[in-house]
Amino acid sequence: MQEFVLNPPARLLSADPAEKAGVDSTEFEHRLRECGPLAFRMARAVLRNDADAEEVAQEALLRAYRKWEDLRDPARFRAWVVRISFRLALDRWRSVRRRERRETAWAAPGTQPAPRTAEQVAVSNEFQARLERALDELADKSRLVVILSAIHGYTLEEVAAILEIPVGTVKSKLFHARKRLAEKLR
Amino acid sequence: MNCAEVQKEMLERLVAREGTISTESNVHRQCCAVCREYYEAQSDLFRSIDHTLGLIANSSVPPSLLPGIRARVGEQAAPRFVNFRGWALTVLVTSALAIIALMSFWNRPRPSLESPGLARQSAPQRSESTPTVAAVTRPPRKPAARLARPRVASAPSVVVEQPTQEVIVLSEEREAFARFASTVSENRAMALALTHPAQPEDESAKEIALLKIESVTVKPLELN
Repeated sequence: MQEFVLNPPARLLSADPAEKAGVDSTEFEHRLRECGPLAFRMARAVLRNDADAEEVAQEALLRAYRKWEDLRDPARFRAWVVRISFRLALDRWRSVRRRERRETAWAAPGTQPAPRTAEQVAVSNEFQARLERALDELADKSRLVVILSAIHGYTLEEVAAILEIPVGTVKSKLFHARKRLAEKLR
Repeated sequence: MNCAEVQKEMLERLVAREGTISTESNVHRQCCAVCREYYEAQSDLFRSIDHTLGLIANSSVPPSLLPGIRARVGEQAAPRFVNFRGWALTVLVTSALAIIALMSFWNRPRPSLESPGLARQSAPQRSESTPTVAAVTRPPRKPAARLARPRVASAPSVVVEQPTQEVIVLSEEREAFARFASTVSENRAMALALTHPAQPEDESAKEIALLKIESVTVKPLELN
């Protein structure tokens, strides 16, 4: 609302809804292209489900849009989007897990929920399933570091910048997380 | 270095994604089949971990993602506009009501400072004295008309809204007052004398003279 008030009148007549809300649509579009896939991948790594991950990424970017005035700085925007999508994905993952546990408790013993799609069945293998389980058991921050550093194109320095923590901390978290993963998978 | 130390170093290098191991460990690995096997197994494990993590973290982005976000942003922007209009309307209505309340507060009938009893008593005095003063200090062009509407006219609401303050004026008194009012502008000195208290005389100009008795004759008392 504040942005709206501060806008020049010409903007109010614009057909672009983003401009109507006081957001520079070109700038926001640029951030959307940069951070949309990142938010999706972050959510997808946690949820392991495309539809849920897409919803979470959309929600994260919508929240970023609402906080546009505070997130004009590109680095801040990216960091905020990554963190919020990770947090939203974790919340959803936990609620899904709770629901699954409830359903499993009511179901006959020994029955397991079937994989959701045929594609998932084809892609998944035993190792990936074990790795995913091991990932789930990591602490939230360690999991975030592992996922971010596994996304192509992100160096440890960039991961540190996104998470706003020192590079040494990223290295340390990654070291312990990888060691733990290896122990679980050995 | 023994095998345990070499294997520990190998593992730490692999965990830390450092491809090379120290020369001493490398020499040991080439000589020791167990350590060589261990190194290859661990290398495979970490390669698999990195590869699978890459698969998990770099899943393909669905093409509907960005259009979906744009659509939701559009939905978000429209209510914001509506909300702003609603907000602005609320502010306008509130400020208009506040202005009306302020205006009515300023124009409210101001109650007399005197108590109702006193007002009842002082009402006749006002009708007699106030017009006289007005006529004297500011001589009006139409004195009779001016005096016919004394100061009561400046606060009509007070008179109208206080019907209990009835002043009964006899017809003779009213006529006498009208006569007085018509003559008061012609005789200015009389009006001043009537409406203003007498000026105290200058004390410094007065002299107190001593009592002088020039001659005293003493007569004897006459007895009956």
